[in-house]
Order: sequence, then structure tokens, then C-alpha cells
Amino acid sequence: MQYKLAEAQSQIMKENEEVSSPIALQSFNSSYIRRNNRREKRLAAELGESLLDSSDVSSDVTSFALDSNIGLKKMPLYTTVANSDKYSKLFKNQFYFSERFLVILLSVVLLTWATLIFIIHMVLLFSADIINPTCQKRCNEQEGIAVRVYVCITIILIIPFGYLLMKMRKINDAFSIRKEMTIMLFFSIFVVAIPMIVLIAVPNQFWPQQPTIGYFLGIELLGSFFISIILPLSSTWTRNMDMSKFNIFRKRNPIPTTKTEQPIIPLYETFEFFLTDVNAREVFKQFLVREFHVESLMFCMEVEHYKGLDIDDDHSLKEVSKNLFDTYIQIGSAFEVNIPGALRDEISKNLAKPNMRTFDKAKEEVIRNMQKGSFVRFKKSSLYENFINKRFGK
Amino acid sequence: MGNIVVSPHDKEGQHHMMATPTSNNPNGGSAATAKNKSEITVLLLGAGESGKSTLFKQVQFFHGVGITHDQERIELIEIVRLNVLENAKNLVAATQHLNIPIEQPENRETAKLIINSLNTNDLEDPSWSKRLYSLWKDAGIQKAYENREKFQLYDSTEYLFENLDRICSDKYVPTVVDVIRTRTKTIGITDMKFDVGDGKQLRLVDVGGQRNERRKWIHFFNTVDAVVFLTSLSEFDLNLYEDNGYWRVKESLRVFNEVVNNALFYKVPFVLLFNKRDLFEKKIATKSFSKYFSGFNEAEEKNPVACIEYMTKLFLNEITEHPLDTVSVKTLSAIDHDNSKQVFEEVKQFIMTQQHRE
Repeated sequence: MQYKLAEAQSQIMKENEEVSSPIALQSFNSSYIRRNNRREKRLAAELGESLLDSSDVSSDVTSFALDSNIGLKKMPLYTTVANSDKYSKLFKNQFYFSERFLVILLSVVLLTWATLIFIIHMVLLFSADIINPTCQKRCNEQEGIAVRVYVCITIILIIPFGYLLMKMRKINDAFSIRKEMTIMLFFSIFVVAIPMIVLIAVPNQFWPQQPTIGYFLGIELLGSFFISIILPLSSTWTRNMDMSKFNIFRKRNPIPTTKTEQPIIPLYETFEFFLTDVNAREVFKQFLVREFHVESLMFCMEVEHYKGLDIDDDHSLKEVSKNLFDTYIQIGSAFEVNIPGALRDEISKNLAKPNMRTFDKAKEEVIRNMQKGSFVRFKKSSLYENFINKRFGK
Repeated sequence: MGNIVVSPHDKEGQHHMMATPTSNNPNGGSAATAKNKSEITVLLLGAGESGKSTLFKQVQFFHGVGITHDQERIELIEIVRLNVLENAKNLVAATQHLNIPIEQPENRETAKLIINSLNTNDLEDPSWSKRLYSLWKDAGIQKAYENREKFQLYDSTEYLFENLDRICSDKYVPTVVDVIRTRTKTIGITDMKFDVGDGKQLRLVDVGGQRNERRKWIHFFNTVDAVVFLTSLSEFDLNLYEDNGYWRVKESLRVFNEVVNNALFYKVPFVLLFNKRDLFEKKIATKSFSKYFSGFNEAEEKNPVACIEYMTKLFLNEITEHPLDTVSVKTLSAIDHDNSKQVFEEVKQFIMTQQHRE
């Protein structure tokens, strides 16, 4: 049993051999992925272990899902958070447009749109009064009714909103939906509903103009756009991004070169590149499979994924970290990584109260070992050479 | 770079012994080796930190695969400095763990920086050489170093700290000795091939030695032509890296037992190498050897030959299946270039003659 995994690994490897060089990289990758998927499912069935099923060796980080029964599969990458040490920034952001660019674009479009609607509404109302003063009274009456109806609707809507929130309070808030709803509730109570009631209740002569429904609609519109779209995006933005370097497009070269007159290392020679870039990582992973070392890379990706989950619910967090521990750290586990015993003990102690940093030390250790050992050899291999030739035509 | 770094076309380059590090698919390779008898596969086995990779590196160096290009040199600089940092970190962590205070306040400051923020790029600054050296000379750190059997520390610690002024300069070029002395934990399996004359190729396979790595060994077991088992003489007072409560000698014996009595190796020549002889001789001068082995005569504990004899007996007693005439026992000091060259030649001769006999 102990050796079965290794056998499985070598079998995967053998299959991969068949599809080596001449095909274009992209198609090569996809066929590689397909093969591996099929392969691993069969192996999983053979071994009777569900964990192989969840550790797809070849596709993107997203598919390094953890436990399917707590519904955490296929999490979006952009929530990768926290503790931005040297490597945690490397795994996210595979898009050409950066997140901050999208956020800015969305904010600008929505703000313009909302303001335009608001202004048009106001202008129409005022001009209607000015152009046709005789109609003013009737208009006001209609408006007054509409406002009252609107208040009723708002109040009625607030009740199920609160109820839903009560129900949701135990749910894992990975997408920040609960937070969003809470803000929305407070917003509609304190910014829209109460001022509206006050304004209607206060005698007319105090206000030069009875507030119109358009006014509240505008506020509500702006508010809801702000809360439901810009707020969640910007909160991930501020967590992920270094605000000081305002650069609309993603930095193509994430590697800080060393400060002295050492020759500047080309991007494709750096270890970071082979962790960050999807295709490059795929090639490196193939090499690691040949060296019987792939568990290290898988572990790093899973830790990144784990940190990206952004779980604030203790129960789920425990379950996820236990799963990670049982797959990679536990003695005799299927993909046991090579870490010092003392560190393993420390992690297993921390499992009782896990947090986002629980596996950081182990990840650092594993990454250092990959860099010192396999990566040095990888760069002398034909796999590396072929990849560089194809990718950079060098 | 020049004189200290071995280049592939050094003195030995004329023999055209171009060893190519290959990372072959063992199963695919096995089919090829079964047909192709000109290839001799030699496995380097042993528990963690027994010196397999050190010997592997030595063989690589004296078969002409040295540091060939600039990029690799930069990587080696990084690796050596990483080793320095890891050593420093381990020592500082040990002082905390063993409750030994670091005495000088400025050293305490350095220790804090080491734990928290120092990275290899900082070591380019020569001022760090002084700071790290003064930390190393601190009474607290030295006391922890004397108690190093209580935690995990590399064997090269002293060497690295004594060479700090070289390593921390911006003109640093790693020497062969530096590369040999750095600890890189092998994970997975790597191999290299080189010609040994008679149109034969020797394929040397290096593996990781920790428990989780050992399950990967089996891939090579049925294609192997010779096994070199390494064990460290100086580990008699140490516990395992991967399990702090387990004595290393016990682990070595257990692994040796499993390997040597494996039915697949019944006809395979077997070499048992007692590594780290130099370190061992230093160690028994200060530490009691008989404290760890109840069957050993206490009067002889300062005599390295008697100690090694005792260890040899201990290991040979484990052999139950393997025919004893195909087992060879040698001592080695893998960090010593000449010694490892000589021992490896002997091993090679032994394997070749055994092959011949077949």
C-alpha cells in the first residue's frame, strides 16, 4: 500500500512520456491534462482513496480543490489574500488585465451612469415644475403617493432582508455576501427609509420643494451599486494590491532583481517564473514527476489555495486544514512532503486552532528545497530547454 | 571564477568523461537497461543525512561536471548563503528552545533580525559577516552549538561560519569545497551517467533518505546492478530529522536490514560505507561512545578503530539473506575530495569485478 502511490506516480509519468516534444505546447498541455484526469480517476478508484480524485496534478490552481463535501471547489483566484510574503503573490493573477484596472473601469462606468440618471431625473422634474406650473399641484400629489408606496415597499423589503441575514449568520462567508447584505440593510434603513419618513412627516413649508421619488431612487441606485459591486471588489483590491505602485497593467516581471552589479537574470531563468506562469509551471511539474518530487509543488499550490479561501468560519477552517494535513503532512500520508519532524509536530498542534498561516513555514521549507535541488537540475534538462525554445524562441 | 571552480574541461577533461546529469524515467529506463548490458546502475542508499548526495556531488566533480556557467554560479551563491541563514536560524531557535540566553545585546539584535527579516540578498553586505561572526562567537550560541545533539543542525555549520568573510563579500565565488559542504536535502530521485571504460556506462542514482522519501526507492530496485549503502558514523548521539524522538543509528540499522535482506538484491554486490569518519574521530574525543552502545567496552571508547569495528559488527549482524562474500565494508570521509575519490574508485573496482564474476 505504501508504495502504491509511487507506482501510480510513475505510471502517470510513463503516459506523459508518450506525448512529449513535437506538439505545440498548448495542445500538449490540454492533452496532458485530459490524460492525467482520466488516469487519476482510475487510480483513485484502484486505491480507494478519494484524495487522489481531488488532487488534479495538471490543471490550474483552482482545481487543486480541497474537500468537495464542504463545497469549496473552484474558488475564484482573486481572493488570494493575506500575508503577502515573497511567494504568495505569485500564484494569483493570471489575467492580462489587472484587477485594479477592472475595478477602476467598473467604478467609473457605474458612477457615471448613476449620476447621469440622477441628474436627468432631477432636471426633468424641476423643468416640469418650471415649464408647467399649473401641473405642479397634481404632480406633487402623485409624487406624494408614490413616495408613500415606496416607503412601504422598502420597509416590507427590510424585514425579509433581516430574516435572511439571521439565517445566514452561520454560513461561511467566502464571497462576502453576508457582509454585503448587512451593509445593504443598514443603508436602506438609515440612508433611504428613515430620511424619507422624516422628510414626508415634516410639514411642507419647511422644505422649499417636496422631495421627489427620483431623489430617493437616485440615492438607492448609487448606494446599491456601490455596495454590491465596488465594495467587494475594492476590499479584495486593498487586501491584495500594493497601492503605492499604481500600475494599470499587470507587471510582467514580478522578480525584484538583486541590487548589486550581478548580471540581471532573465525572467525565464528565475524560479519564481516557474511557479507563477501556468505553462511554465506545467513543464516544471512534469520534471518534478520524473524526479518523484511532485508532491512539493502540489503542496505549495494547495497552501496558496488554502490561504485564498479566506474562511472566517472556524468549523470549515478546521476541516480544510485537517484535510490538508492528512494529505501532505501526516506520517505515511499519500503525498507526504519532506519537512522536519519538529515542524510537523508544531503544525499538528496548531491544527486545533488553525489560521491562514498554519502551513506557511512548511510551504517555505518545501519551496526552498525545490529551489535548491530540483530546480537547479531542471534547468539543465531538455524539458527546460524545449520549453524556453518554444516560449521565447531562444 | 578561475582556479577554484572546476570546469568540465579541466585536467580530467581530456578523458572526455562527460557525465551528463539525467533525470530519466526509471521505468522507461529499466526496459532499456535490461537490454543494454553496458550500463551499470548503482544505487546510493541510506537514511537521511548519511552523505549520499555529498558523495554524489564529489563523483560529479571528479568526473568533470563542475560549475559551468554564470547563472549556475549565482544560484550556488544563493544556496550557500541560504545554508548560512538556515544554520543561523537553527542556532538562534535552539537558544530559545534550550533557554540559553544570547549574551551580548547587539547579538540579540542580530538574532532577532535573523529570525524575522533577513534574506540572502542582505548577506552581500560585508558588515553582515562581522555581525554574524560575532553572533556565532557569542557564548550563548556556542553553548547551544555544544549541545547540538538536542536539536537539528547541519554538519557544515562551523565551516560556514568560519568562512563568513568570504561568503558575505560581494565578490564571492563558491568554491568546490563550499558546494560540497552545503547541505541540500535531496527530495525525490536523481541520477547521472558517466563512462567507466570498456564501453560501459555507470549510472549513479542518488535518492532522498528521509522516511517519506524511502517509499520512492522501490522504483529502482529491480533494475539495480550494485548498491552502495551509506551510514554516518557520527550520528550515534543524534535523533532523526523527521522524527525527533528516534535514534538515528537505530533507523540506519533498520533501513540497512530492509535493504540488504531484500530478495531483489540477493545477487547484487553490496557496499557498506561508513561515512563522516573525520567528524566521528573529532566527536568521540569529546563525547562518550559507550554511553550509546551498552555492549561496547568502555575502555576502548576513545579508539576510533575499535569503535568502527564495533559498528561494522552491528551492521553485519543485520545481514540474514545476502551472501556475505558480495558485501564490502569501507570507511569514508565524503567531504574530503581525495579520500572520496579513492574510496569511490575502490567501490567501482569491487562492483566491476563482481560483475565480471557473474
